[in-house]
Amino acid sequence: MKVLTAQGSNLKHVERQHHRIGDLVHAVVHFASEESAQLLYFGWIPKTGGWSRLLAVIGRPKHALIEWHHAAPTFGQTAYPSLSARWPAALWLEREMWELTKVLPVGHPDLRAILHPENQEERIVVHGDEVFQLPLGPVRSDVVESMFMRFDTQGEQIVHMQPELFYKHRDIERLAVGLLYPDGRFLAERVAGTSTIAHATAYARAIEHALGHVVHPKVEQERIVFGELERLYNHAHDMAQMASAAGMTVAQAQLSRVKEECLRVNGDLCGSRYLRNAVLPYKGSDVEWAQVVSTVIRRLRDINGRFTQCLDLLRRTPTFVDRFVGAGIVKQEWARAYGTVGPVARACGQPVDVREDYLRDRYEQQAYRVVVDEAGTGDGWARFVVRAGEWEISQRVLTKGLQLLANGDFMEAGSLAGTQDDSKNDGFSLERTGIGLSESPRGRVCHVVQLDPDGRLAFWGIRAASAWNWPVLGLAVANGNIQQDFPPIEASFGLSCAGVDR
Amino acid sequence: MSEARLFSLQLLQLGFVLVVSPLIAGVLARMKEFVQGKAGPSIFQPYRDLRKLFQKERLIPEGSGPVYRLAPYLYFSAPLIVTLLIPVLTTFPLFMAFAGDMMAGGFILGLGTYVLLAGAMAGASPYGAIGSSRVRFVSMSVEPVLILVLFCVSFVAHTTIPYIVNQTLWGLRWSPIHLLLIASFFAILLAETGRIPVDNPSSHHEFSMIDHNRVYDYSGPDLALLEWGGWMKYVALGTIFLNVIVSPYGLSHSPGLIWVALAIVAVFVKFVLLDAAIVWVESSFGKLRLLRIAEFMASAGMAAGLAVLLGILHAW
Repeated sequence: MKVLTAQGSNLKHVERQHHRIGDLVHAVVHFASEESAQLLYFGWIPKTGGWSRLLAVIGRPKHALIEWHHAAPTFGQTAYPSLSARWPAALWLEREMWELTKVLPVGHPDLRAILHPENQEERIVVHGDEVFQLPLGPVRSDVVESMFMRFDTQGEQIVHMQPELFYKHRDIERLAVGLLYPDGRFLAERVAGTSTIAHATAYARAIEHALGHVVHPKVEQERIVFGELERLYNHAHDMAQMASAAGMTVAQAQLSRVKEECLRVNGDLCGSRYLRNAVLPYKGSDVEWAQVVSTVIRRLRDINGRFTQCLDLLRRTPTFVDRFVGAGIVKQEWARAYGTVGPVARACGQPVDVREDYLRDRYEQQAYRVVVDEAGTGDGWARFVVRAGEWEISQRVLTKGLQLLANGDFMEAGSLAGTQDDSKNDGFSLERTGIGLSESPRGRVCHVVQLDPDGRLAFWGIRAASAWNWPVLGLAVANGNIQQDFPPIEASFGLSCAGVDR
Repeated sequence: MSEARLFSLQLLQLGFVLVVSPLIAGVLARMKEFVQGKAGPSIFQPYRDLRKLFQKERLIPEGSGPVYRLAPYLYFSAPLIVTLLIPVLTTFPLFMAFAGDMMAGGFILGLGTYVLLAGAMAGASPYGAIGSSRVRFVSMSVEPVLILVLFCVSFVAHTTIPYIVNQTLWGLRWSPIHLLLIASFFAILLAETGRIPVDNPSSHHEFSMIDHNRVYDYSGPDLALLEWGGWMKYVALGTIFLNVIVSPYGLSHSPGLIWVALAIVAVFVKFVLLDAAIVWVESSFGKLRLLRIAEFMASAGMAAGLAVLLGILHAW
């Protein structure tokens, strides 16, 4: 066991190499019962011409640890004990791994092809009288991403729901292999348009981690600010969707307007409404903060006034509240077992948040606080309340963060080029491999990269926030809800497909 | 008054409902967008939609049967037949006024609704069946209220012929009975025409729609007839609400052309006010959960029941 200090924070990376994959799964399963342990990454890391090792990255924020478990298969190994049999969080991951490598996870309950939903055989789960199968998608009305959902209903009651994704699968992870890492960020920004910054930041951090580079604090500060700007427009969008699902047309229009204003602030700030080209590996953006900060803060204050007023009115509209209270409850044990992230997890009382868990030293100076639903009811209303709270905190973090950027307190921290810290690669048997984490509006985004000696991407693994939340949607929708509850529940989850599909 | 004049007025009523109903729907849509801070489509957009749909191809699912084909025509004609029975423009009874009472009007509209839901069931989309079952649920909650309203009307007016009812009710001018009847019939109007809080007409989500689910399979001219029929149904029910339940004010007392022309304007203005009331409801309430619709209609039923009680006391 080798202990290495990580870049720019007190987080420690620990590597554990297992002799057999069975040992790895056994070691990882142990964390399923640890209160705050998080499965950050689970998947095969390829070697040229084949899949060479299984990697599991476990985050243990209580111990300020990130544990890298990896094991190579023995020659000709075609099966290993499934992790998801004990830790459901890996269910979809193992389906994907099985389809890509044809190494069988023994004990996995459902190994249908996940990457090619068009060839997927139908799995009928519910049998009985009056059970009615209802397909939804992949082409749906209104502006929504392509996905397919199979509902089993009994009258209005939803008995079971299976989501099928990957209609937008672009194979980004393998498309990037062989690209120089500065080019890879173009793909990273396009994993999911609404989480551009979250993915670009995670990618940049992963690259920097892999190469042992420590960026200048000002660059990290910019990433924080951009990340919160992204959160604002996403939360406004999700709130608008919730209003729309409950039939509150005026509130929807008002919140959409708030979203549009946020996007315009973004566009004026860095030339892209969705904040593209703002976060780069090794570098900061070219925004002249000192000149723009006061304008941005003033505009955000205006937007904030309109948003909070609208939310206050919604909170006082019984017909709106009624649609969300008790709708789509996520039980705490599900949230834990499926590794749920983001506002969905925090609405269940789980304080899962990358900003708090792994980047606390960077967010501390901006009065950041995790918003958690204390009662942990996990219903649609709790998700509404958590998002509303997060909007408020984001405003605070933004105001402080922008002031920090403008006042130029970073001068004493050395040259903007950052510093090199080669200690990371000493003795780490996974060479030039790094992990990058960021908190997108929907939850934790995790990128794992491996670079070859020329600085080209050899491997890239992406775990978007929604990938952890999608499997729980089925459970939340099925238990005691009627068909008409589905739109509010779906809106309150605020899931993205592109990030999962990659 | 010559028979010919009465007959032509009858035709004018039909024409009014046929031609003006898309405009009334257009005004409603435009107002709703305006309240949201948007410009909204032109108030003549429904006419353009109709022209577009009538030019489009008619697609019929395989094995859908005759009910499916017949449904749009019956749904389209039901509100027109009801128009013959109700005072759209004139206070004095026209040609067909005594051919049926309010009960008959309810039945005819109900027949149109029923045929459409049978047609939707016969189509290929599973959403048609869902829409039909939800519409049945809504109708089930609406019917008792409607019956109570008619009870009360017949108690107070000793008749259910719309041309006579409106005079009697207007005699009660804003008495508690009158106000309660207005409230409960307004709830019926909202439920039957698929407005918030019962159904969300601007939603596109397959799982929440009630009314629009039924027309999922229909296309081209069939869809045009259904849309048009829906607008006319709104105008027919709106006419009963405005001219019979609320007040016959603004209707023409004489068959003179000028008076009838003025009545057309007055009725249109009344409809604009009704549109505004509906927009007010739609922008201040959310859509109710399906099972809550029964509670909403039950409160309307309470109002109607109270009106019946007061009506009995009044008769004493």
